[in-house]
Amino acid sequence: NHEELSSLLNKEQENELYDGLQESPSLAMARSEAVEWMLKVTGHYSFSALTAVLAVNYLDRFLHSFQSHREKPWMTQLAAVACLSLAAKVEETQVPLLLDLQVEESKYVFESKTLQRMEILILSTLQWRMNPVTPLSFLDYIARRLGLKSHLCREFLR
Amino acid sequence: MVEEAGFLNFIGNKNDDHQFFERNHPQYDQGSYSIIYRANHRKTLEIVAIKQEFHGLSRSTLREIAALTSLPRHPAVIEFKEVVVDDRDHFFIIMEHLENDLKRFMDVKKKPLNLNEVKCIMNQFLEGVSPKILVGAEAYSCAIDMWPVGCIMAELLLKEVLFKGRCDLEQIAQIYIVLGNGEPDDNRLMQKFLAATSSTGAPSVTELGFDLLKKLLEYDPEKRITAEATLNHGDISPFLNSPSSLHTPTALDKAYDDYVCDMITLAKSKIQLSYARDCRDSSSLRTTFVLSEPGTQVIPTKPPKLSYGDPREIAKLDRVMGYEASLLDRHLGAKAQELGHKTSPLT
Repeated sequence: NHEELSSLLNKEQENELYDGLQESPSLAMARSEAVEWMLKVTGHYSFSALTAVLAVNYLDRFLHSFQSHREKPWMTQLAAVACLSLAAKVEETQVPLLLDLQVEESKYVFESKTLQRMEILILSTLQWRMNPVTPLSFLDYIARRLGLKSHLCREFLR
Repeated sequence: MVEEAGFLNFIGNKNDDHQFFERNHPQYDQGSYSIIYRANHRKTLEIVAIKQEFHGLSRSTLREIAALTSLPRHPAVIEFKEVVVDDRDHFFIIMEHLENDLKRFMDVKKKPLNLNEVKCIMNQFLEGVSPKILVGAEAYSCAIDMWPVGCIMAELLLKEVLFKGRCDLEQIAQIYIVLGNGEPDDNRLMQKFLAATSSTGAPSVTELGFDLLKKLLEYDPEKRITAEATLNHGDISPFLNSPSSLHTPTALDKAYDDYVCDMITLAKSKIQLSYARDCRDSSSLRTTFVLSEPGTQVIPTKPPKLSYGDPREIAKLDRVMGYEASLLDRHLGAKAQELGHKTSPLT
């Protein structure tokens, strides 16, 4: 089914933050800290790999579109918490409360109200496009094409 | 903000005409996580539906809006307008207003639907799921999940929700009660329909219709009937060939047509909501329990995965499953008593 593959390729978006990261070491640093934190929390709550991939995708797209405040150190962390929360809501069956999400030595702890507003800001900045094509979409496609249907394969790809 | 001053209730931002609404209906619909108002836009006077979320943006609302905005604009798809946060941190979701939805339709209609009505709704509903409509949808890699289509078909026939669980665990218990634990058990489902036919006058399902329902409510998503195959299923396909006959005034009156439109909207949003879960339905029972066990920690930065070869992992799995099974059994026992069984259907 070539249609599905070409549709995936069509819908796949480039990471537009890439150039920004090359130009600004401070942004690259803040982003890498935020991603590291998100992965720790993903591990802590045993979220799926897709949740982590989505959270990073949301964060990159947000940082790219919302350039005005991204140099503030707390801003990236606030966005990271909100992005992870959104990704968990999109993908997970059990989602921790916003306050409980801030584990693994986060530098700042934000109130629920602040995070709820941030979620809305991110959603509207991303125009509610919460199901992007990710590398996992291709893995899933390839696995299905190869007929890898066993339980173990599915678990591995999660 | 919501002001309860006499008949005037204002919602939104007073300082922004474009985000200011006036309630025009005392009470519309209240759920546990949200309340729905009907209101006018203060400037344009457009009637909208406003959903107030009590605890920020809920998971279900987020998924619903993300699904709606990923669909191309279509008259049968309900329109999401915007989210308004007022000065007191109240959250309002502004949506297109529909006078009726399927639930209200079924509540209002005293008699159960007849078979033709059910088929008609199912048919329209399936057209809504067809690739034609979803071609413009943003990204969906998995096949559309047909499980909720089965749930809605059963609900149309029974005039009640098929699996009435208030939480995940109860939901699973309900599914086991109706479909059996392990391989789906046709008899139990059939019994439910026979009971409904004799008590409420629900239409008796044809053999073909029951066959379709069984295929929709198949546990294994790999074996579950696809949207395409459902359209070609003998129970539905005759209606596809003569859609015009369904819309003649003798067959269906105008109001009914409107309800059907709303039904499609509802169905679409439900289907969109569930597609993301499709690929892991069969394993979700086990994985959900294993992953939610307190104290289970996966080494950070590595994606969680279960090693089935490790004896310790297997022992842990057994323990969790045993614990969940006992909880489930208690639930089932209580349910079974309600239904007049002496022991849990699991044992």
